[in-house]
Amino acid sequence: METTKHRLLLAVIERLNSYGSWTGKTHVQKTVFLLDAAKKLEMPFKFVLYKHGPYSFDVENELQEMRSYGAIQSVSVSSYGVTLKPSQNADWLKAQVTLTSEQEQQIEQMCEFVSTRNVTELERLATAAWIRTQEHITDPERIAGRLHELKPHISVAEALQADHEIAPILCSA
Amino acid sequence: MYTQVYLHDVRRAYDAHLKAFLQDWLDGGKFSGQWQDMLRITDNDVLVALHRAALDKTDPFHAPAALLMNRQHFRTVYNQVTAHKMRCPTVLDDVLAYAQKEFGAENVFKDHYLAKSEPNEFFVLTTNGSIENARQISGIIDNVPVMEVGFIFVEPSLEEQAKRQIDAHLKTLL
Repeated sequence: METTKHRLLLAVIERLNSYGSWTGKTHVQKTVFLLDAAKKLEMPFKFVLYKHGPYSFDVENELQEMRSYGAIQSVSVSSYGVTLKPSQNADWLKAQVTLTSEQEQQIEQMCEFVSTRNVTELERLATAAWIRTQEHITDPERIAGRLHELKPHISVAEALQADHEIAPILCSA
Repeated sequence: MYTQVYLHDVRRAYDAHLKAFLQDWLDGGKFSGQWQDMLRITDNDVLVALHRAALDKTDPFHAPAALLMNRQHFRTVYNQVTAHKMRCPTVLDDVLAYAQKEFGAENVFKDHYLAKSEPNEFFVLTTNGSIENARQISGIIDNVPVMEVGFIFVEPSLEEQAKRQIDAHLKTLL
């Protein structure tokens, strides 16, 4: 059992919850990716550019295992999908792994940034971050063009706006 | 249905024994990555090798083959259930460590399978014409029950004793 990975994911879920985020799997996925992309924290998860932006099969599998022993639960809200919440063994997990104050702080800041965004916004922001950090393109116009090329349903104007929002976060690392 | 067939404990024990046999029997412990070589080995070749090794006590592959061919497969002495895992998240590893200490590592093995989660990332067209992420509008897609099995197996002659001791040990764990 990868308790360190689970502890990081639990912290993200708890902080997103505390900021009033919907806290679906997409919010968790994009928060973890942005923490890693911004070099705020070294997150032990691999990401690929998937249908709706950066995606980690590792994160998905670890969330599944966390559900299996009750560290988290998926709460179904009729017609609105599911939201992730800590569950009965969250305290057991916290007792196994303690996060540093630096880790707690970085997670808190990123969760605050992500919390109120919907999945469509998160797709744009995280994909812009992917282009900056994985494809090493830094010119905003080129980033917007590349984002539109990868995700044609995102207009160039929306892509520019997304890069404008995410660039300061990546550059503050 | 799927779990009752493919994740049945005896079937899982046989899977483990077959893997152990193949790792001993195949050159380099695994099938060739070259498809031309791969096609030279059929199920029939493996079954003949198993049959011959099980009959001949001097055969270097006799021990793993006999487990499979003579119904000497390791026996289930612990089957992890959700209630146990909820009370003690590490219960399977704890029981394994106890059993290995009591009966020897060579006489015990664990089998654990947790189905990998599917990404299920796709958009849907709603009745009012908007396009939404399926995860946001379905309570089912993100909440498919977790499929998991966990077993501890022991060498057949130890079955009864191991079951008694593990049952007693579980009372201290749970």
